[in-house]
Amino acid sequence: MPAPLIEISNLSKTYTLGNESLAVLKGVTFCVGQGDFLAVMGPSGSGKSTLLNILGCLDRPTSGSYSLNGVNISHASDNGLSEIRASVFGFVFQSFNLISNLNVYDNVSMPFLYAENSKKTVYEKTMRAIEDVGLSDRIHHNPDELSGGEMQRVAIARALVRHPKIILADEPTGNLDSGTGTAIMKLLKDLNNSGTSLILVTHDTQTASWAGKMMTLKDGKFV
Amino acid sequence: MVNLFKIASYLKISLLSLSAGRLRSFLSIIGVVFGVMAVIVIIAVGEGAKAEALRQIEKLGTTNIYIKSVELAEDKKQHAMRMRPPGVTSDDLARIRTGCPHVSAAAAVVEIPVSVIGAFKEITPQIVSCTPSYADVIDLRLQSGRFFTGSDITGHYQVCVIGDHVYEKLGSGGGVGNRLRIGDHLFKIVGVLERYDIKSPKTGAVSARNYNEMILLPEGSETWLLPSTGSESAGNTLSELIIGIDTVSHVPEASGIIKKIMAMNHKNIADYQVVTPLELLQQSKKTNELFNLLLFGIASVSLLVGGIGIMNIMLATVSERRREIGIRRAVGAKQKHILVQFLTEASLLTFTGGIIGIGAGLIAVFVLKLASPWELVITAQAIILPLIISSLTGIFFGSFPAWKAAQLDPIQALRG
Ligand SMILES: Nc1ncnc2c1ncn2[C@@H]1O[C@H](COP(=O)(O)OP(=O)(O)OP(=O)(O)O)[C@@H](O)[C@H]1O
Ligand SMILES: [Mg+2]
Repeated sequence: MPAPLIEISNLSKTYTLGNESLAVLKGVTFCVGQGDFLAVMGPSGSGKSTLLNILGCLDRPTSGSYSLNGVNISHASDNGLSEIRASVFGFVFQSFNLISNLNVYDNVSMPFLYAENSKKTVYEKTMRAIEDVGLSDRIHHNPDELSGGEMQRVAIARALVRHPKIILADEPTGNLDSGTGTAIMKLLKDLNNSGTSLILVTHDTQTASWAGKMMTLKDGKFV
Repeated sequence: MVNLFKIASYLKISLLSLSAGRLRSFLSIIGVVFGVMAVIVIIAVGEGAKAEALRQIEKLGTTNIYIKSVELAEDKKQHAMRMRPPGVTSDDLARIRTGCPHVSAAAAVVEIPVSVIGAFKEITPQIVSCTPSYADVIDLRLQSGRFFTGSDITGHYQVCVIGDHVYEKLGSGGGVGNRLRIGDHLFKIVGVLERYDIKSPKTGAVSARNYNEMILLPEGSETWLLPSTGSESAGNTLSELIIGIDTVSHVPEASGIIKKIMAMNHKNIADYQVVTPLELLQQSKKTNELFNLLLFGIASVSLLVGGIGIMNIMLATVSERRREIGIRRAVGAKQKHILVQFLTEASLLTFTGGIIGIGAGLIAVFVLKLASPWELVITAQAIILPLIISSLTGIFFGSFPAWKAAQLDPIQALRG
C-alpha cells in the first residue's frame, strides 16, 4: 500500500502569549489520501483554521509529525515550506484574498512568478484556469468590479492554476449567499472529481455534506 | 539565470502598485528629484568653468612661458628706475636665450597706448607691436592675408594685422589692402585674424588676450609711434615676453631656470611676473578635485534626505500591504521573492525620481545658460551618474523596509 498523501500523527499546536499558553490542537491524528474530499467542522475557535494552516505549510506544529508523500516535513526550512506550498497546495480563503490592484488575469497568473515556466505556458494555463471557473469575459476586470461569487471564482482559478495535488479551502462560502455558495461548491466538487484532493473547513453542515468524509474538531481533538 | 519575463513581471507589479498611489509616489521622490537636479546643475557649472579655464590655458599654450611686465608702486619705481628701465626688456630675452636650454622660439609684445581713428563705438582696439614669431608661438591663425615677416621689421613697413571684431567694425574699409590710421600714421592692413571664441573677459593671469579686438603692428613700430619711449642701453621695456619650449616635459625645468635668470637680472625687483600655463593647468586640476569633493558632499546630503523619504514611504507601503505579502507567501513566494519585489519598487521609485531630476536639471541648465554669462557644460557622466546613484539609493534605503516585508510571518501577514 502506498503512503497516504498526508499523514498527521499526534500533532499539537500551542500559542504562547506572554506567560499564558493556549493549547489549540492537542494531538490530532489522521490521513488524507489522493483524491479525498474531507470536511473539517467544529465550533468557532476550535482550531480549524489553525489546522488548515499547518496542513498548508503556512504554519508549523508545536509537536507531532507531518508527513507529505511519505516525507516528514515537520522540520523543513522556510524556503522548503515555500516550495511545498508552491508545488503541492492551492488555497481558497473565506475573504477571497485577491490583490486589489491586479486584474483577474494577473491575480490568477501570480503563482507562476514563484516557479519556472515559459511565458507561453503561463499564458495558456492561466487562460485555461479562468475558463474553468467561467470568467473568460472578465479577464481585464479588477477585483472591485466583481461580485463576491466572481471573486471567489478568481481565487479558485488562482488555487488550481498550477494543478496542485491538494486544495485547502477555509470557509470558501462563508461570505456568499446560499445560491452562490452552492455554485462555488459545485466548482470545487468538479475539481475533486478530476482527482484533486480537497480539505474544506466549514461550520455549515449543508456545505460539509458535499464532502466524502466529515471530521469534527472539539477541544483540540477530533471527536 | 536572468529571466527577462520575471524581471518584466516584477517591474509590472511595482508599476501597478506605484501608480495605485500616484500622488504619494510622486511626493516621496521629490527629495531625490531635487537632489539629482542640484547635482546636474552643479556639474554643469563646474564642467563649464573647467572647460573655460582649460581653453584659456590651452590658448596660452602649454609649452609656453609668459613673462609680463608689472607696474610697481610709485616709491619702489623711483628706486628701480635709477638702475634700469622698468619691467621686462629685450635684454631679458637675450639672457634667457643664452642661459636657458630647450628654448625653441620667443616672441615679444609691446602694448602701445595710442588711439585708432575710425568708427569704433563698442570696442576699444588694443594696439600692440610684436615679433613675427608671435603668430607661431601662440598659434594665431589668419582668415585672410598674411602675418608679418622679417622684412616688415627691417624695412620699417607701416603694416598691420587686425582682429575679427576690428575687421567687422571697419566694414568695407577693413579688408586686406586698406589703410588704417593709428596716431599720426597710416598702416596698411596685410592680414585679418580668425575669429576667436572667447567667453569671459579677463580673469587674472589665466586669461588669454582678446585677439578679436586687437591691432597688431610689426616690432619696433612703437619707437616712431611714441618717440618718447626707449633708452637703448638696457633694451626697451616690453609688455610681455613669450618663451616657447621644445616639449612639454622640459617646461618645469625651463620655468625654474627662467625664474632664476629673471630674478638675477632684475636684482630681485618684482617688476615682472612669470606665468607658466602648464602650472596653471596643474593648479586647475587641484581646484577640480576640491570641487568634486564639494559636489560629492552636496550629492550625498541630498540623496540621504531623499533616501530617508523613500524609506519612510516604503515602510508605510509594507505595513499597508501585509495581506498581499501573505497571499504571495501562501502561493509559494519565498522571503527572497518578497525582498526582490519591494527592492524593485523602491529602486523604480528613485530611478523615476532620477529621470525627473535629470529632466528638471537639464531645463535648469538651459535656462541658466540663457540668463547668465557662465559657460555650462553637460557631460554624459553628468547624466548617467545621477541615474545610477539614484537607483542605488532606492536599493540602499529600500532594503530595510523590504527586509521587514520578507520577515513577516505568512499567517500574521494574511490576517492583514
Ligand atoms: N497567532 C495566534 N496567537 C494566539 N492565539 C491564536 C493565534 N491564532 C489563533 N489563535 C487562537 O487559536 C484558537 C483557534 O483559532 P482558529 O482560527 O484556528 O479557530 P477556527 O476554528 O478557525 O475558528 P472560526 O470558525 O471562528 O474561524 C482561537 O482561540 C484563537 O484565538
Ligand atoms: Mg477559521
